[in-house]
Amino acid sequence: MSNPQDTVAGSQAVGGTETDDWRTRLVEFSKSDFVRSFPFWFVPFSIMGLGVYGGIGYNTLISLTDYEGFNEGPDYTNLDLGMYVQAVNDPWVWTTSKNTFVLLIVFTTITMLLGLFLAIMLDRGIRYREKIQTIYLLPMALSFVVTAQFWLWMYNVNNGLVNTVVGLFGLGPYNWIGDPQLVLGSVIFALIWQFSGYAMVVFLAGLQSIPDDQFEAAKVDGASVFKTYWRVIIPQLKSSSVSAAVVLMIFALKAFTFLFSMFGQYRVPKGTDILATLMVREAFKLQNWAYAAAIATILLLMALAVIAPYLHYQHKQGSL
Amino acid sequence: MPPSNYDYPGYERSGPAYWSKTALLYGGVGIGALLWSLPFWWMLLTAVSANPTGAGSSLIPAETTFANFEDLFATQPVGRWFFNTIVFAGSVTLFNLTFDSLAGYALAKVEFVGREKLFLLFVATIMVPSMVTLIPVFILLSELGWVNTYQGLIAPLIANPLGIFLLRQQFKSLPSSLGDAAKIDGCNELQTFYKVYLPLAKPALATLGIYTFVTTWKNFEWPLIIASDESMYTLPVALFAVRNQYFTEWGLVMAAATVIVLPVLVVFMSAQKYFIRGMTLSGMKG
Repeated sequence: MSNPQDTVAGSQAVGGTETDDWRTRLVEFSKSDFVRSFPFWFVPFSIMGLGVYGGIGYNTLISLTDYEGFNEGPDYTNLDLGMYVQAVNDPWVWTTSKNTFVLLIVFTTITMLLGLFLAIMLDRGIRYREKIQTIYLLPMALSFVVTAQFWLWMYNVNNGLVNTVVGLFGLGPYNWIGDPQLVLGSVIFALIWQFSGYAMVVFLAGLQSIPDDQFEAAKVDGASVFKTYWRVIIPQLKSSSVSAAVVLMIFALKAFTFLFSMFGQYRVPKGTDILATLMVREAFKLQNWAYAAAIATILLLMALAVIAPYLHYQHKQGSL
Repeated sequence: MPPSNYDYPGYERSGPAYWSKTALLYGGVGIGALLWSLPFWWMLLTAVSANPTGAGSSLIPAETTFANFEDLFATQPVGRWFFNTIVFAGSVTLFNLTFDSLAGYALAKVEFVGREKLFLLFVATIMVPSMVTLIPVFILLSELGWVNTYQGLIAPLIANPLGIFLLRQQFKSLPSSLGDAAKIDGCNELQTFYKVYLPLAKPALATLGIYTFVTTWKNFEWPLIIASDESMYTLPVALFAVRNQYFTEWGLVMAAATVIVLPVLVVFMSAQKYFIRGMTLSGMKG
């Protein structure tokens, strides 16, 4: 590919007057690679740039105002950190942050472990693998609204399936959703059910890229099955694990949809209120736009703290 | 018996140890699969039961009826919701295929100053949960008067960093000599993209198309916020509204759930390969 800079330099030497120089530069610029590539990325980039980077900027600006209510727009003349001070002093923000964190850690850990276990089972030359894989993946194809309805009924105190099963062991019945002590666990269990198929598929892809002769080699060395997986196979799944973990964490941060549809219109989900549900409630029910924007900023910081190290790792590995 | 190329240590193909291990393996996976599919069975069962409140005690329906479906279609504008959802998911998919492949091509095959920086800016947006920009985007669109319109539903979703990433990887894997040859033959950049590279990227386009369609079909949070009028509901939001309205009528609610789930299930089952590729994409090395 020819370098336009050369031609620019050439015409400058010949051109002489300033107008000519300016014109040639413009003509050359219009032929440059940057302009040539422009029609390809301009539209998607401006939409995403406006939506994400512009959105974050605007969100931060709103969080510095006192904007609330329906009609009049935000007042940008009096910016302060009042909403953040209010958020830090609000014990409920701390409770929801704690819930967000517990959900994030417990959900991600168990889903990954279960997904890895399922992937190893399916990788062991099982029959009907495709069909079994489909079954485990089905919940992923479903909307949270639908799965929330399933689980609402599964957890029903009087005739839900979960209490029927627990009843077989002489326990219960428990109020899985109504009891603030139990509800976070119930929600996490339902989310694990929905996402372990995803973790399984990611790990399975990783397992299948490991050549079979490594099993042979371990066998020759006399390693047991467990040792083979623990020492030889699982360490090679690092890249799969990291990417699965990040995707699961992003899902956990916006488990909003599941909670919102499980507990109904802006009702406070006792025991499972997370930052995302709190934010939507403050914004779209109470119209406390500025306060909700401040909570959104906290959510963004949490997401960055979780995901930035991952992208850094991927970049270092050269996969980006 | 498992295929013979799976010759793991401790996996002798005969004797009681082998058979008990195999039984354990299939038993475990089978019970898991049963647990995973149970809710679907439950949903169908409830939708066709005459008296669903008693269904907790049995998994086989005593008598089946389509009354719940008839009720649903008679009392709710299901056709309109279907239409909305198809317009929403269909347009978002088409826009994504167009813009993501354009941007992915530029980032892979067109050399220009600042390309890598632009790419990092694109990829970094993956980190930002959509919840964070919900308020500013909503305020912006309501000032444009786009609340309860199709353009309001569709506009914020027309490009997606994950799709751009996928197509960039795909275009990168194709040899540059193809494009060079096309340019010698007199194609400009756009023609090279359209005539030479795009047809070769079909597998990635199929993956992106199906993945985008399914995820948009089941998107809830955005239609919930922007489409508050009943005539603009998409199916997931409609299910939520039906649930709130007929809280105790489980039969009707599950009939609605069935109507929403079935099309996605058909797409998903028939194109599972592409869907899986879409899901594992973030774990793939370029």
